[in-house]
Amino acid sequence: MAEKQTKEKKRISIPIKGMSCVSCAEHVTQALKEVPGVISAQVNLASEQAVVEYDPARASTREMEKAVRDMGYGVGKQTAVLRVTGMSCASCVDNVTRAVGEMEGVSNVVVNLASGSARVEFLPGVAGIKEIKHTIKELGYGAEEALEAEAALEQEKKAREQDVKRQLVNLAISWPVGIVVMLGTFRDYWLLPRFVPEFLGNMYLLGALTTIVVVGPARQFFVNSYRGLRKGVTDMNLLYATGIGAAYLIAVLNTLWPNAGFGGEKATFFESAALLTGFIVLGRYLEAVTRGRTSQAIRKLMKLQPRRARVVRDGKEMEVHADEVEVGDLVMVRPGESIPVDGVVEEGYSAVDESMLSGESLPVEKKAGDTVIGGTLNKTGAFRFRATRVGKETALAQIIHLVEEAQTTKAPIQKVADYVAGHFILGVHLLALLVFIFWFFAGYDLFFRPESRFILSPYALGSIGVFGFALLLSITVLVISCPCAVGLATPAAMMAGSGKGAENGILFKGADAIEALSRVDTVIFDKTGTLTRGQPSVTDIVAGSLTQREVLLLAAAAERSSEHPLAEAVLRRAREEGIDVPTPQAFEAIPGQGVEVGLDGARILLGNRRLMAERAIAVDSLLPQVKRLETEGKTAVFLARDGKAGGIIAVADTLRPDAALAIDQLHRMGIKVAMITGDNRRTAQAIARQAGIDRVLAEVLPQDKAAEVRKLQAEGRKVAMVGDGINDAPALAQADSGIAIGAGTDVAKETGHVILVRERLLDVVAAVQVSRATIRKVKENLFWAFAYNTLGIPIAAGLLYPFFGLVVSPELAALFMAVSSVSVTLNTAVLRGYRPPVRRLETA
Amino acid sequence: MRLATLLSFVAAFAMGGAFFLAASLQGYGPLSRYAGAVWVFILSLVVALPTIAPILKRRLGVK
Repeated sequence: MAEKQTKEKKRISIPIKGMSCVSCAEHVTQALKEVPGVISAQVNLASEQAVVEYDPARASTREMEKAVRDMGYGVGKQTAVLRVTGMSCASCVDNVTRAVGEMEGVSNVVVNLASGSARVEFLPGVAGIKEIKHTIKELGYGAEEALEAEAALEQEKKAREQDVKRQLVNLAISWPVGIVVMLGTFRDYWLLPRFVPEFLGNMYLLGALTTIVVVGPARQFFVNSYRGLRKGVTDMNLLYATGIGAAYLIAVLNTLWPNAGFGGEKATFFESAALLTGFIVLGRYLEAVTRGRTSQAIRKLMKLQPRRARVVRDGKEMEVHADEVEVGDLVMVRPGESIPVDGVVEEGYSAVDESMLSGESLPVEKKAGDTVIGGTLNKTGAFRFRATRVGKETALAQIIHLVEEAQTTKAPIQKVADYVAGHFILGVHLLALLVFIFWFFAGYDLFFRPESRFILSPYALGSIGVFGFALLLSITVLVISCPCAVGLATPAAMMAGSGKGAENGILFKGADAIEALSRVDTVIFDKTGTLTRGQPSVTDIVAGSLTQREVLLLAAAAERSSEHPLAEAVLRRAREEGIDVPTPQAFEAIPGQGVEVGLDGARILLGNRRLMAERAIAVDSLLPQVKRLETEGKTAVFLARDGKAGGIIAVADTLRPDAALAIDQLHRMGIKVAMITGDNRRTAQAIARQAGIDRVLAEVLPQDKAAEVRKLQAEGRKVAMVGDGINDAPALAQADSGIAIGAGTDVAKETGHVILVRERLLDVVAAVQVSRATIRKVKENLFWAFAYNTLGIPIAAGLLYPFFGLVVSPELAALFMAVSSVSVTLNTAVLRGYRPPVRRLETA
Repeated sequence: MRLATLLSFVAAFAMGGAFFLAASLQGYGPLSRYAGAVWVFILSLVVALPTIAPILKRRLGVK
């Protein structure tokens, strides 16, 4: 894709998607030409490119993209995931989002603080990864392309360890020095004169010690805020830098020139500057530790990937690296070993622990013909399997990819928090300015009392002057307002939630999928194959002149040569009951009616009422039973031997064993449950009755399912649609939350917003529970994060001072700020131990 | 960007100047006036820098 720029105009080529004929090209050309500022546009159908010449001052690529999309065509875009280092708060997220978002050719940016990543969608050629990285670096952050998952995790781990180490060194300097400075400052109070040597009270010594802290551990805040200010952006480093810088400067002035009017010797804030740094560094350290923990889910999944595999090649068994296993390789697995790749068992028998991928607590039996999933653990026996999926195609690799994707997306609730936090810094500086002006011109004269003191401190404000007092309150507002907890609140909980989902075999395709599912108030189940097993089975055997066993034996014999779908159900039931099915000597299929066979000299008829009527067989005594079975949605088939009605066999598609329990649980959670099916109303209602479903949407053609979902949404309902993910794709896409069930090893191909690995309806309940628990955690985190600021800012601004004569010291403000981050971190940690309540029911 | 920075400095300087004037008229000591004006200038600059740049971009129609 080329780009040329002259003095006034720019030329770019945009990849266009979805054009099929010359008129399409003409439509796109016209649409582009109509964008104000576009000088010329030429669309090439063969290369699927539009070459546009435009005035960059009047037109933007976003407008061109919109014009193309409005015409019903797509624009070929590239997505890059970058690892962004050095972000420490929500305003950093806002800065990166804004700077990259404003770049020409960038159409979407999602920056995640917790994972330290940026997902950028851009027009290749107009923007490039190099330019995007450059823009981020210009802001003072690091930017690298995300590596392959494992390498990226390693690098991220290394970078995090370095960050943790750096902050630990800063802690080791700032805290001991800060405590010594504090003891020196307060050596005239309480019992301290007995323990603290006199020389420690020397202001010059305290100044020298504080200087070590300011130029050492606090240096990072000055450097980072300078980098940001150069680019016109503000972040919380600036809050820290102004807070620490001002406290230190006033302390130095009061020490060197005590009569200059800043409050004199009694108002040296050396301990404020030192401890402020100590608390901020403590917050930084805790954040560095927290951020690493949020990617634990992916790390845990990665650890499942076995390193070695034993394959049979050229008749010889050899050990190879798991990456070297190829499709078609015969792989050997011994008891206690992990299964290296996906495949199908060829020989042997064992039980495999699949809990790590599907959440299934009991080991699953594996025999010839069964599929096995790479990363699961073989428990008892040994077996050989043929590899069917290797490398990035394995279920484990797909699951890791999905969880990663989910963790780099942003939920709507997070966008609001980011917006607030992004504008917070500006608002706080404005507030600090107003606080300073108020206390300088009015507050000091009206309310100041020399005996007033800091909260939790023996330090009286004494002779502090008007400037010193107003400055003190202004700095405290800056320090207490830091929105770092706001920035962590949502992504940390979302990452923990998506990881928790993966542990339970529930894969959310994004943070928005978690939020959407948590809001759902109606769940629609597709009937066949989702709510039911999807294959008919024998439900009732009614004895007439024959016993139940005779009815089943003769029916199985009659169906032995039949290809009717019901035949499979009857033969399966006979096999289950250990019946040795005899082979009939004669067989005749009667189209639309049933079959007639000859067995050991007897004439056996198996078919519907019409067949019985045509052969003049009296079935009156069985009719009440038939009516009952039909009301239950079952198909009743008569069996007659030698012209006499022998009994009835009823066949139906049966509910999955956990259907009723799952629906009951959804009801208990306040969710309405509906069923959608193409079946007739009577059959549908019979199934709905058994399952306890509130609403039946029957006789709906597959293509109309999405319209039914729309109807429910039009009633104001938030709808989740549960289906098999292939036939129900349009309905899953239409629903607020599409849940594809039973993905097994093929998670990547599934449509829908949430993917359930197992074919278990209780997993639908677990998915809703995990999503609700996650969003609850997000809201709690946001509450804690905002509560500290909402309570802290007015107190820091001196609201309590006129009444109680108490002010918050800058170091206490820093402690509050650090505590807000810690409370968010601890609150999120609780989610890691969460177990969906429905899992307890399953165990019971 | 340079114009935005220049305007931000001018606005912050004006704020600091206004503060100095108000403090002088009310008879505050020289140190409070000068130091207060510097603090008001710093905070005003921090507020002005990220506020003026987007306004300017919109006004000048820079895409």
